[in-house]
Amino acid sequence: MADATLGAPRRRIAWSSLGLGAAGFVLFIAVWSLLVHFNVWRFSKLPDLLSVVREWTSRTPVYGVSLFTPAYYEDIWASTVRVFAAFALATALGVPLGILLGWNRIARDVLFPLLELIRPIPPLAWVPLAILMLSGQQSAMIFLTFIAAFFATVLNTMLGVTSIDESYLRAAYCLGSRRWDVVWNVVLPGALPYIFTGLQIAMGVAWFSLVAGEMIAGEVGLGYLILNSYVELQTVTIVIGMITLGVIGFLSSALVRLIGHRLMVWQAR
Amino acid sequence: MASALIPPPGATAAGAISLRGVRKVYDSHGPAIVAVDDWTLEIASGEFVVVVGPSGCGKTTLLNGIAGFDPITGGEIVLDGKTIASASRSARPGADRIVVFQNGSLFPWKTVVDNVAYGPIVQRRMSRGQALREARSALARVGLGDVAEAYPRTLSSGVQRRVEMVRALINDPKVLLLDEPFRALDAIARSVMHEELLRLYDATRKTVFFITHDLDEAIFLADRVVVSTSRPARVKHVLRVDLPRPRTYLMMASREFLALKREVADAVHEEAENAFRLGEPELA
Repeated sequence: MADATLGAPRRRIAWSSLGLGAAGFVLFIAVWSLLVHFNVWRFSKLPDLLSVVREWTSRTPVYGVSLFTPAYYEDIWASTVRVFAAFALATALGVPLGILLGWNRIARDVLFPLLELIRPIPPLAWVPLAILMLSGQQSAMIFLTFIAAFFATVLNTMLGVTSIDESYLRAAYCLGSRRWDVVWNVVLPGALPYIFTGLQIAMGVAWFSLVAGEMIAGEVGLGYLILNSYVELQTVTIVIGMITLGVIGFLSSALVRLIGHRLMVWQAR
Repeated sequence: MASALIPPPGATAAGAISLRGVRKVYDSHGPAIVAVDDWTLEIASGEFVVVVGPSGCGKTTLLNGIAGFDPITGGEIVLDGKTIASASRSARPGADRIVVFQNGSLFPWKTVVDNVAYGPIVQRRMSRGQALREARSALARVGLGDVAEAYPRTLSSGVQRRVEMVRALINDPKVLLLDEPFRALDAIARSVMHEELLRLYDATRKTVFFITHDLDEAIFLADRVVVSTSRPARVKHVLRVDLPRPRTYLMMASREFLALKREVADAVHEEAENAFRLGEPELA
């Protein structure tokens, strides 16, 4: 009884924000449909939602890609594998490097200016070098996906380490810690909120660097699908590819967020 | 020194601190600032010493010197006959001198029991399981058994400070260094904490070096109250507090207490006025 009265207001808040979120979608779809229907500016070049949904759910799609064709899942799978490989690499290299930079003054003085100089180079500018230097398109695309994610991870991890309250470090030394104890018990968990902010950003930039890479070098994948559909003027398939990217990008960020929450239960008050 | 058979005085009782002409100069940014100068005091093993003085007068600088967080520029700090810090020797922090900080420093990412067990584990004094058992029983002894599995941020500041004291004491340090540990608490929580701290003190008789600018707190807790001058910090006045132990809050209304307070207040007020006149920025 008491539980029900306590639980009720919270649930109502969740439902109402869910409702507002749905309203946002409805509004977007309505504006889209109206723009296409009344041919505002050049919107008649776009497909309307109905034809997108019809194609997407068709067992015999006009342009060959729908929920029922293996090709669709091959593209999703190829892109997802590349993103997760690049993301795993960015985490495995970026977090330790970020900790080193935040923790060690000499390492920071040596490497930080270099990183700051390389970081603004957009992933697309790396394309020629990636193709020249790496054997095979797959590794070139993973590298392009990796590079921006890596910088986001390194910088946020470094920021997380430098923002740790000095008194935690002092307390740890007082209690008899050696350097490694401090790294493991204070620096890493203390920087974790920033690290996960970095990883969420990394996941986001991984997806859009990937699509850029696939448009240039790919033979399969969602970016390739979109570019190829553009070449063949299949706008319906372009929109299917875009929506799919949005959904998968959202789900993979949600996954990172979920893991972060699991690892940081101590943050909840 | 020659005869190992005759122990030097005070050798058996641990935690005696000599501060001999301690000096600290900050000169990394701009003109040199003398924060502490010729600060001298002998602290007996098991003594409760409280240092009071205007904010930013260099009290924390002194404490950081003893703790080994910050090197001193001159003089020396001796713990049980061993020089731990001097101009030529930087002290290192160690589990024989544990600090309880102003804003609390329990690791928020560890549960209460993991915080308390941390020292014994990293010092490799106990196995993890044993350390956790010890931590649980230490918490239970002071009535904190119920919060053992909680994360610090879910607890009140008062409870957090009590946990922090248990985390310090489980390592059996020689000296406890407390830097305005109850500053963030309200007056009522603070007076409860004072009695709790004194209970722990009476039970363990560790040497305590306590910093505050709350005069009631200073007199209520201390064996000796040391008034420090405004910058540079020097010992201005030392006052012995002979109120019997165990102390109770009712003593704070006693005639003796008020007379002591008058004496400390006079000394502190003079220094506060000096600091005010000089108008120098505060120092950590």
